[in-house]
Amino acid sequence: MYVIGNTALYLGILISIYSLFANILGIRKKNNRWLESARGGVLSLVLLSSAASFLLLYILGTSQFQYKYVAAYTSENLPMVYKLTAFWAGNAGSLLLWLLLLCLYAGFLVFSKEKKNPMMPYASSILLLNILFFFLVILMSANPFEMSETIPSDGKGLNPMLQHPGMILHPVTLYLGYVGLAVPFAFAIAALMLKRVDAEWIKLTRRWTLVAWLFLTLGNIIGGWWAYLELGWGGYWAWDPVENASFLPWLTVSAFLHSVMIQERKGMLKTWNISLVILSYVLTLFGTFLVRSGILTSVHAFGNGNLGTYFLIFMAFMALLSIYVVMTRYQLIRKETNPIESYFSKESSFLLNNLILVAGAFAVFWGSMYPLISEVITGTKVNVGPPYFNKVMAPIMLGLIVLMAICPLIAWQKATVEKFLKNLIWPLTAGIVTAIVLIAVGVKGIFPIIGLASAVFMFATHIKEFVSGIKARMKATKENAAKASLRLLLKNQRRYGGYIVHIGIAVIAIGVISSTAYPKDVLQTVETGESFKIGQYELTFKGLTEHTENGNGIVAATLDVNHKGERVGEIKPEKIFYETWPEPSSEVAIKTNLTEDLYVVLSSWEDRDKVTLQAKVNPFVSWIWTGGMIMVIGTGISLIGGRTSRAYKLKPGTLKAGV
Amino acid sequence: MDYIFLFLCSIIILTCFYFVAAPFFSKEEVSSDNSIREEVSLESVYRAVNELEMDFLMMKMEEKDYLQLKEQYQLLAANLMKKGHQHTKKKSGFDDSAQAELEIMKELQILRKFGGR
Repeated sequence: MYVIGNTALYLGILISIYSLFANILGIRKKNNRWLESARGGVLSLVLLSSAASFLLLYILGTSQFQYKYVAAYTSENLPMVYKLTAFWAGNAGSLLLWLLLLCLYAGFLVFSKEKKNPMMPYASSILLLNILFFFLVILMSANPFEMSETIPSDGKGLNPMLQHPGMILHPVTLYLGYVGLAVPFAFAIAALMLKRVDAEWIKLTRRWTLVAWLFLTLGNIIGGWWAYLELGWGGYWAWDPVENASFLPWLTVSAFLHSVMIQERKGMLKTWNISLVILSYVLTLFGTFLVRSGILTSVHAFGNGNLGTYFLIFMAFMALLSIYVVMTRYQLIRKETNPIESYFSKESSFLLNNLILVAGAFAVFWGSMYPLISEVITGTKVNVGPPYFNKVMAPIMLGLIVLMAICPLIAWQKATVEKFLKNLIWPLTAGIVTAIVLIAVGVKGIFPIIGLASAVFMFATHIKEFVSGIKARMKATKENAAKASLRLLLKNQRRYGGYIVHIGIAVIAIGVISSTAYPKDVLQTVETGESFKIGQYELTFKGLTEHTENGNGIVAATLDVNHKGERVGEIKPEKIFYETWPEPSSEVAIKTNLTEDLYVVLSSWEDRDKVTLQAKVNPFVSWIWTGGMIMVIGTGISLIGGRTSRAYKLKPGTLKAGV
Repeated sequence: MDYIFLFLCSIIILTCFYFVAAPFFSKEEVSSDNSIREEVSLESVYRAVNELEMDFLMMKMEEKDYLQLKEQYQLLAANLMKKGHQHTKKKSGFDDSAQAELEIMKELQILRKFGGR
């Protein structure tokens, strides 16, 4: 097995180099056989990375502790699902996962229906460069098939925090997002190399970018859910540097997804779009550099090592290559870019949205890197922490929400203030009424009220857009309301899918604002039979129990829960003492409903009859997960849309058939 | 057991070799495709017309602005399609500009019916 694993990795390097040269020869000699051979090379890389991945899964699943990686991240008594997910628990495995996904993306791309597009050999070469880098790095610095001289009787086991369903989904979805961004990047560079700076590369990569963005969204949401349930912070987002690293490309890709619409329709913002794609891709490498280098303290970091240096070098190389290609084609891009015709139009509002998103990305980047910057300048590492991020990001996010409320009401190209104001009336009224109601029912805090009212304003705008769209369709097609609604969605998936995503964001915003501004928190020591109150809940401690499960010791506190005087059940916050891990881990007990979560952590105990509990009531947290799901559904709808429909298939040669 | 692994390893190596070498021994003609550009330009024009119509029907735009922009786009579509015809007229034997205009209008009708509103 050792032979197969290492052969796959060494052969991967050889074939990546070969395919790169085959592509270059094919392009230079205009010889399609070389290009076909390079494509065969990519298929070989898919085979090799799959073989290596399957092998790693096999040795993990069968607990072959002669392999250092298996011994470092699994143990005999670990449930099978976590033995397998230990694949991405460490550096070596997670790099192999990255490589596998990269090869799969490249494979799908070079065998897609666009395989004969002249840009493909260039794009494939860029992806091959990435693949080559990952094969090299795995072999040089993090080989999962490295063997130890002595075989340990058992492995060290998996970090308890990673023994959670989130571990199955979070890393994979995030990596699918990260890796997916290499595709639009490769096409952007390919388009520049070929001097084809029209919207073709955008059209070709729209779905790839959306897929990458979808996975980044999912990765971030699942990560937040996991942190909320497992880490026991009581929070879903802690502005941890590595969380920020996955949020950064999400922000820039969100900007890109909006600005490409302007290039597609009006041929504007070409340099900006190319810059955003390059920036997003570089930020994915930057995120990986942060995780691998250990330069910043984070719960996600894989520790120190020379991997960070390799990533830094590769990131610098790709950034310089991109800058060089952009600079040498800059005049051409500028020449073919149309200026914005009207300052009051959807185009302008999209540009503003882009500026806010990029400003947000810069603020997050600055805050994440500040410890390093301060250390370089003053010699002391200063961590800025959540207060900085909350202070800076709150107005930026508020600005975005307001813009999302306004933007859909503005027409493309030639909007008029009069029409806009007319359309604005009822969504704005909904927002203002929300603010008045919140104040009337005694909700405190001016900023959270503005935030919540803005979220409702944004929600109302999108509902109005749906209603107006249905009315317009009914008027134009004489369809009934049900048919018009369905057709409106089916025939305009891109637009209404996007609107559904916005609605998801409004729902998330309500959850985030409420849970950040109005949490209740109690740290209470109680004896058996004693009760304490938090919000509208009354918790009664019934006693502490101990038992063993899978070799792990579990201490659980049983609590009776009453809500508004009625018994609603029992909860059991736990501390788990893992056989293979020095520190115990907290298992949070959560009772959730539509408006709030009761969140209880077993902090400590003196004896069986006296425990200290941390109880929280977090309002509207379930809205964050619901909003995330709405976003995923909306993106799914957008992904189906934008296909070249019958009416659009107007290849000159086939035009006559339509007469 | 070692023989099985060596056998599997050989199969992987041979398969990879086959993937990269096969195109050089294939008798099939390999060609490249350049057709996407016209399709992209036309599609973006139709999409823009569709958006305009939607904005107008949803009362976000004045009628005169809508008509003016729509005419601009129709002209652009006509030019693009004519270019396309000139590019392939030898192949298709299609050389009637009046009929091309008619087709543009028909395609725009199809767009309005199926391409979304």
